[in-house]
Amino acid sequence: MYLFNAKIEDPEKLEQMLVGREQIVNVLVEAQLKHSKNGLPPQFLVVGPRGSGKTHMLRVIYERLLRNGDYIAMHDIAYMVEDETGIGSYFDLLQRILEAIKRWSNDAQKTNYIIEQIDKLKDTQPKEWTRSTENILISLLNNKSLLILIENFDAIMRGMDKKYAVMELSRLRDFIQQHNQLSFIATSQSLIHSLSDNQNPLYGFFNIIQLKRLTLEESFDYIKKIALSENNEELVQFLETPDGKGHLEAIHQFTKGNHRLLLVFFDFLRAEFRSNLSDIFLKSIDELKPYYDSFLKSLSPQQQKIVQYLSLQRNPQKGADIGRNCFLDKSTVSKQLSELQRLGFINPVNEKGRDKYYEISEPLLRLCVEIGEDRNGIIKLFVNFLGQLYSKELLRAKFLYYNYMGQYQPEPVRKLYQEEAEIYSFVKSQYLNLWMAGEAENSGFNMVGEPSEIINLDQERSYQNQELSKFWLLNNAFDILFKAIENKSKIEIEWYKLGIEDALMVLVNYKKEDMVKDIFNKLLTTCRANNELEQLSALFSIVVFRIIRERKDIKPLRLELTGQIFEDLFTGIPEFSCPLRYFDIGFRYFVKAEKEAIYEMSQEERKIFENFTNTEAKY
Amino acid sequence: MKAIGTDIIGREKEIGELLSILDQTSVIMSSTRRMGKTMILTKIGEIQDLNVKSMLCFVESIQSAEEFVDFLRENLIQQKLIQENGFKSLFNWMNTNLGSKDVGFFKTPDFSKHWKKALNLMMDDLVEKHAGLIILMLDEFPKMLWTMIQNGNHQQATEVLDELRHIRERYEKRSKLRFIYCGSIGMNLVINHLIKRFKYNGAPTNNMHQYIVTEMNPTDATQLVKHLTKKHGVVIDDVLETYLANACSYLPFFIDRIIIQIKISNLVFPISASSIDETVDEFLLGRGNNSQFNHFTERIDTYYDTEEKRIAHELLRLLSKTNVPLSSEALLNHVKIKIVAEDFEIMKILSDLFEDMYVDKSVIDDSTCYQFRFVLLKKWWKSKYA
Repeated sequence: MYLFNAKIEDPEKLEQMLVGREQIVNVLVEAQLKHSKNGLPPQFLVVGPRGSGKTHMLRVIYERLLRNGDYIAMHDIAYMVEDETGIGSYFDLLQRILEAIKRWSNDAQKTNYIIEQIDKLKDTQPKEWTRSTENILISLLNNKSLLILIENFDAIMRGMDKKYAVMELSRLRDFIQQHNQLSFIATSQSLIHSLSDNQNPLYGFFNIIQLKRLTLEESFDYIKKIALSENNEELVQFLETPDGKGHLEAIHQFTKGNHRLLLVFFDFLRAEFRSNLSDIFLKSIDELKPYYDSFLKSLSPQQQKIVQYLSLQRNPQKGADIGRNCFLDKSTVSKQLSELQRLGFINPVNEKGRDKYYEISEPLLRLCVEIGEDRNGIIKLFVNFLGQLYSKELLRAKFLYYNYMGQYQPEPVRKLYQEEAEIYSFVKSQYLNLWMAGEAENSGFNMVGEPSEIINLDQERSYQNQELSKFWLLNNAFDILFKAIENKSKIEIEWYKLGIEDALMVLVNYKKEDMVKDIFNKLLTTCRANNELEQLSALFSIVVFRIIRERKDIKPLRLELTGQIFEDLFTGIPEFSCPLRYFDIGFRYFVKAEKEAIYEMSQEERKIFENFTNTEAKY
Repeated sequence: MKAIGTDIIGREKEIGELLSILDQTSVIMSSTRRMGKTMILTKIGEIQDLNVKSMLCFVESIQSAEEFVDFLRENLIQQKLIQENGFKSLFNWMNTNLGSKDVGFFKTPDFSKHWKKALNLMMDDLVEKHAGLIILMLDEFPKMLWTMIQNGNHQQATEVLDELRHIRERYEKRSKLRFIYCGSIGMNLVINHLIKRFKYNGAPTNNMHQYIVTEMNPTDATQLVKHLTKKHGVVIDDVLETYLANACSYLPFFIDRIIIQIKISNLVFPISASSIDETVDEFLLGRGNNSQFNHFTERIDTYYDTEEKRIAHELLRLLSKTNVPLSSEALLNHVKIKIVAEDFEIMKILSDLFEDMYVDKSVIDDSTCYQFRFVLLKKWWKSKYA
């Protein structure tokens, strides 16, 4: 596993790697620095699942505050990021706080004082231990304040004897309020249920911050920063290519922007970035299996049974079906589902529906089980499909963007875009011919300003579909494509250069199903002979998604016929199973209004469906 | 009075009122959670001058009378209201009767026979030392008593109440020793429980003034917004400061939390009314956040009987769904469609809901009209129950 341990890593590197969490760390540090002695000390609880960067954040906070002389003059820090096990009471917690101060302090006088006082405590009556330890802590602080950085506060609360927990926590709260010198930055892997109980002494005590998952951009930034920190220029360059971005987008989809999981993938990505994504993926899953197994073990047997069952079902399942298949009665399954939901293992898919559907919240947890059952199953195909799909989509967007900008921007900006679009020279020259003939004036497009203001690509394309595609047909675009593939040119480049997607859309719209069939048949043969089936599958998927997006402009009969052609052509070819499935579900969901069809997909499949059909499925 | 700490904003009006009441008598201070009563106590606790000495004690976790007295002794010293050797009467008595001045005695089983004496002598010494107003604030005092009762120690709970009453009576006339009993569960609930369950026949607080803490006034709330946005580096103009204070129903707890959330969300665009609303909604209703007002539900579930509970829920459900205040007539009609109840029963629940700060009332066109007191609670209620 990639060696990146927030407890031992170089502080500067940790600062650099603080992606997506900078603002929270700033807030937490500022709250400490700006807290005046007159006010109540800030108390924070940071909630995020395993691997979401909590340890990393605490370490950065610790280092920043440690370097601040003014702060340290008035504060001590108890840095409790070891696995704090064996805390069963408020007294244990106080002892661990003293231990932590001792462990991280360079002040020999202070550490000796702690050792001395704890030794003395051993000779007193148990009844005295808690109050005496409080007094040791207060006299040790000597009017300074104490910041307690503590991990897994949820586990500590769970570890307290239920019978006495309320009393123990009351004592903690009383102590904090009484002396106004203790401030907590605690972390927790899940929301602590008891903190929402009005009767809990810590109800409303913490300012709770829930960590969000990294966005795609943040995940990209994170991986790139790690690659840069290792001076892995080759990987940095790869990440900037459509293939690299496609890989990363697929990885992001599965890791859902979890820092630790991204790191596991990075480990394999840096070694084998030219390999198939599914190879990297399967190796990462193998690496992650013990990690997921370890926290599955923390569940009760009934909960494990439910997780196991849901993991083996790719798509969401109804609560009643879960109960039936796990042989659990209604009330047990309902209780366990709600507990698993609280622990973050599962999610309800349809919050408002009468029959709730549930699924495993982390796709990778599910896949660890699924791949154990069938290593060469659908998931391998899906991962490769995903990587290809994203990279083709990026290429498509890039093509449209540069091509458009190359024509509409004023000089001298236009030249820059034209140069960027050099690979699309064929397209450009043809487009320019048309515009020179006066077409552009009628296009109705406005000039765009900044490059970030990317135009609505589909809108542009649909406008131009008819005329331009006819033009391509006249130029025997498909023939050029076949020849190019045979000559080992990159299929995706040729695809966009030739406007194949538009051409196919025109054929579908103009009742030319036979032509569509012939063209795809020929493409299939040519690509198979040239080992380009995966590329073709991704490009075909883009056509499929576009048909779904533009379904309202196509007659249902045409859609059905087109679907039939796709089925005839591609059924049984593994590389095409994903797009065929999307077409089928899209057709049933949107055209036949089979709303339940959406639940036939796993969450990562649904995400792709939503992204590429520009729609948010209604659950 | 000396200037008090600058980090706790507002509440000057409430503190002024409390101080003038305390000049005359002790106070029972109550409020539902999240109104900021502990902040008020903390601010009063900062007052330490020749005329006023105050001490704030958090006593929720205290389990016995002995522990309570020992805790008071330790805190009087720690908070410098008296030095250890200032307990002259106490030590004289200990020396004469126990043959030792060692306060370790407070922790021995024998102390259970003497805690009342020790408490009285400690108060003697305290009053002897200070001529001005002495305010002893016991936060979550009702909970301390409740814990004692739950632990089977109701006898001690009543004794603590009675002893403190004697002390108040003894000193309130000749000096200015005052107590504030503060708690989120009411003293009346604890005393009623003692009366009903254990035939307690004392009236240990009937000479104390009842003071209820409500939300901040708009000016203070806006000041708090100004202070916290500046502190956290959140850029916001005057109009939005007022808007934010109002969006948080002038509740300091929510103002603090929402400003932190705005800061964390690191908005790319300038803060606007809609981004404030979004943050409030997310904080109030988002996944994992939907327990913010559980205490309001629990209050009904715990203290209203079955029929009352149904009526209260029906009234609140209806009020959470309307944007205008509803007249009592309209509410009566609505409830009676759903529940068999007499007008007076429904009106009683409306009155309870008003007293418990769920709803506010106003007279519109000669009708008494009701609406949720806090916009936040209304939103939360609607999302949860309507």
